Amino acid sequence: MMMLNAIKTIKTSVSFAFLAMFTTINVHSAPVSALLSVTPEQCVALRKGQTCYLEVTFDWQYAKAANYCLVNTTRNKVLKCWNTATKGQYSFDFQSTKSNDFVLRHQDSGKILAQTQVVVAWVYKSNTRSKSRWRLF
Amino acid sequence: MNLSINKLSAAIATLLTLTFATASQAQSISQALRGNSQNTTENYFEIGLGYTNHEGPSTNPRKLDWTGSYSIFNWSYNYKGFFLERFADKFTESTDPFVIGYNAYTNDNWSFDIIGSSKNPGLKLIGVAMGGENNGQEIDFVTRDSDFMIGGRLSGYFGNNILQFSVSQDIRRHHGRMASALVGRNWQLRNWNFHGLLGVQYSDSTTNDYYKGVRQEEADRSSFTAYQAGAGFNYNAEVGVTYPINEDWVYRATATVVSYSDEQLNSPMYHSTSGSTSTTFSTSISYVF
Repeated sequence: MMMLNAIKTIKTSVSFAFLAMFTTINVHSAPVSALLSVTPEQCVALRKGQTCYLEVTFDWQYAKAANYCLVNTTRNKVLKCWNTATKGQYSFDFQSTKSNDFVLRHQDSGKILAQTQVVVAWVYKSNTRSKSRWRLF
Repeated sequence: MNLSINKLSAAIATLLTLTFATASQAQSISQALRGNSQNTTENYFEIGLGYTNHEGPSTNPRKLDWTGSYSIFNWSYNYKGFFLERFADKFTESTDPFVIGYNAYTNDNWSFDIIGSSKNPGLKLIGVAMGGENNGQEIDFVTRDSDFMIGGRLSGYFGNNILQFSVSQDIRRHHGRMASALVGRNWQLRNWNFHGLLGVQYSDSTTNDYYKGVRQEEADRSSFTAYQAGAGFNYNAEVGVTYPINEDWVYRATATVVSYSDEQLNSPMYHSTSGSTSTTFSTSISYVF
């Protein structure tokens, strides 16, 4: 009886140990959900409506190796694709008058796995004057 | 009666008069060029600090240059065509404390405003009487009031180029007239905004004589000789750069050269070795609300 209890205890301990190991391995492997980040995240222009310029770098990673593409959904433009990859990096010269959205998309299914944004901000907000008219107060 | 002058007061007052009178006409076009705006309006308020070096005509041969820090306090407010503006550095663009106006007409390329502003500040040259009933006392040698000029300002926007013409007349004191013509251009290189500006300003004899002339009774109680100033032209050139540090902070740097008319420089108020041009270099950082 004591032997049986001891064996049960050992089995339970070993099970917990494997569970802990598995969990530990999972924490240090590629994430369960995809991650997409951009650095820097904000581009500042002097005035609203000006083109803002910024060198940005995208980093992504995902547990499942497959074919993925980084897509600018604001302009509907594919920036770069990776074949059978679990992570990637892409840098480019961002130039825009407004904020742009970017997604990591599965190349075959089109499923969006992660998204991020480069935000365009400005110091002075301009208001265009009403055109072609005389004012009479 | 032998009289001497409070040179520090005179130098400061005169310096402000000279730079103010020429630069104020360029205020709005310079603001538009720096901000890379095209016939737009904006409401903002900003405060900041700057550092400047200025050399130019002065009544004091030992105070022909000024270097130091200065505070910035600018704003622009627009409401249904009415606007209030203040865009001033210590010596560049304008030391015009305030511009009030009304946008009477605008289309894609042209804008016409009715504006009022004080283009010439008051002036007081103080000296110590050395003789007479006021012997040893400080007296006013020359006193002039600030003006308030009403006029029209026509601005043209063509791509990155801005033209601006203005005509105005004083309604407060001397009733003189001034006119100006300026052309400017801005360039954007990445997030750096560069601008250049050339201008000419005309002051009629009434305006120049009020601020630069010396009346006989003033000559009698001072070391000045009597002087009557005629009409003249001042010329100015400016280059600068503006950079948005982030959403709230702006960096600026400007270099300005102003060439003054002989009618102004021949005034006995100014020292003969002052030269005929002023140069100003300034750099600043401002927080924009």
